[in-house]
Amino acid sequence: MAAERLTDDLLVEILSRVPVRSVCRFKCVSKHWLSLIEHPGHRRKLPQTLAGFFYTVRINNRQLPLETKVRFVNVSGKSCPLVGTSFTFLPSHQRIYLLDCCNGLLLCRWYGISAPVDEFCYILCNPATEEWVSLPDHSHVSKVAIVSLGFDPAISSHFYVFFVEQEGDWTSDLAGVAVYSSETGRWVYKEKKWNGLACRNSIETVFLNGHIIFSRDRGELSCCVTMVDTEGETWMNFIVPDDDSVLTDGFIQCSQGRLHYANFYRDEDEDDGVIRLEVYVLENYESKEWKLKHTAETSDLFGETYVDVGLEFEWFAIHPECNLVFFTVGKDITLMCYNMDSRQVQVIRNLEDGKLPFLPYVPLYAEQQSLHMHVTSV
Amino acid sequence: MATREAGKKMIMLKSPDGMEFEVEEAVAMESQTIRKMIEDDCADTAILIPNINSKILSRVIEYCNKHVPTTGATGAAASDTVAPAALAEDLKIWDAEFIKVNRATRFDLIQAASYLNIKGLLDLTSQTTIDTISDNSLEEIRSFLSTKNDYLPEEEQTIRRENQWAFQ
Repeated sequence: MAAERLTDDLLVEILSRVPVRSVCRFKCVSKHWLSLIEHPGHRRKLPQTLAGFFYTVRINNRQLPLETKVRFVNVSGKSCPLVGTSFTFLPSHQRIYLLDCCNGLLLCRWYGISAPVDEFCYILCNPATEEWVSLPDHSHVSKVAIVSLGFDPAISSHFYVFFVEQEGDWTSDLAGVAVYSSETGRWVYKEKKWNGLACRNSIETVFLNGHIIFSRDRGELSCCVTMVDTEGETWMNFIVPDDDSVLTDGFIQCSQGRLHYANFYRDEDEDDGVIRLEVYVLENYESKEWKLKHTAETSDLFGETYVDVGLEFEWFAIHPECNLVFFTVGKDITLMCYNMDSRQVQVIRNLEDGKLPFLPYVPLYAEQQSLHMHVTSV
Repeated sequence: MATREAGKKMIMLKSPDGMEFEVEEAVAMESQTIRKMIEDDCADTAILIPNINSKILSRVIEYCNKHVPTTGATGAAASDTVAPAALAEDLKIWDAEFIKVNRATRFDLIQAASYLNIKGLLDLTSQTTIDTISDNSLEEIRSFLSTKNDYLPEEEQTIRRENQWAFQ
């Protein structure tokens, strides 16, 4: 009965053990393999990668000037979005506002249909499986500077939500962190473990090896990165490779299992003041040393067009598996992709009125026990 | 074929081509499928294993025999004298030899491991297949797995472009 070929089930069994890069390569083997890999019954067993980005658009509505809508753009630029953005699986709502996305789960503010305009609760959901859970109230935190979601299904099915609190207004120092764990179903509040450093709100946060990581502007001092563990106990700071010549706020992201930092630097020594993109990678946490991974001139990225990187440029993402940098340029928010290996740039799509937050999305098709317990009813 | 030892419960496994294999119950229970049959009392006399010929079944039993002392709960005593790390290393070398088989036999072993639900053997056979195909070109993968390329040239170009990063 010697088998000439494997059954589909056994092929899927084998594919479930290969890294996502190989799965994507295998999509090109045949149409049959593509349909196996993308079959809804098989997706949950197979590793997934960056599918696209959530972003927000403002709706022109005089009655509700703050009204925004969630949109999704595929990484390939294809017009039909992979993920629906109406969130009809959530209880009926006026609107939702996305805060963070981590390994397939989304953290959002949910504004109920009959509640007062500014009343909301925090909901965690998986748009791929349409599972969701609401978080209990966090009475300890009043001035939230950073909201971040920590979830890594490779390590645990449980998630963490971090609220980093500020002492006063946006120029004041951080005060501490409240961490919600889906394992305990409770918030814990811990005061910060360092002294007197000013902070600025940071949009992007990274969850890596059980820590949230965010960047902080320290005013006169150079910018730094802070790591906090899921207990709120360990706070670790380290400097990013910025100096006086930086032109943007810098960008942190996890790619290929490592923390990356990207920024633009102006070469002051030269007359024409060449502007360079530099991408650094943190080789290990012990030495806290950044290694320069890639450098490119703005002409490699934008061609002949002059782009004011301080005003007309937004960081989008670094691909979680490879050396692609995503960013938007110009007033029409053109989403572009720069390949650090080939130094090629590709236009993905024009996002028109797209605005922050831009959240990279890797789908998660497996059901999660931690989203099955509805903590409070909304 | 296994010989009867004092105090050890034996199970008879039958292949569809009429061969019978007498194995220790602990060895047979490396297969979760057989374990379930035994636990459900469906295995009084002999268990017929459909779809797996005697050649493959004997190799599967060989694998289970080798693996039962370290993974089976009943064989704990055997590992007392040898360091676990050395034992694991020994098993790895044995596995590497065991899986040096032709493609058809390997596919049969994958099918058998899946049907009998023997995780270790499924891991081993799948991983070996992955190692074979991972670094190969698409053409080599197609030929190894006897899969036809049913893409039109322009379709293949599109799908390749979308997954370009995976080829770098």
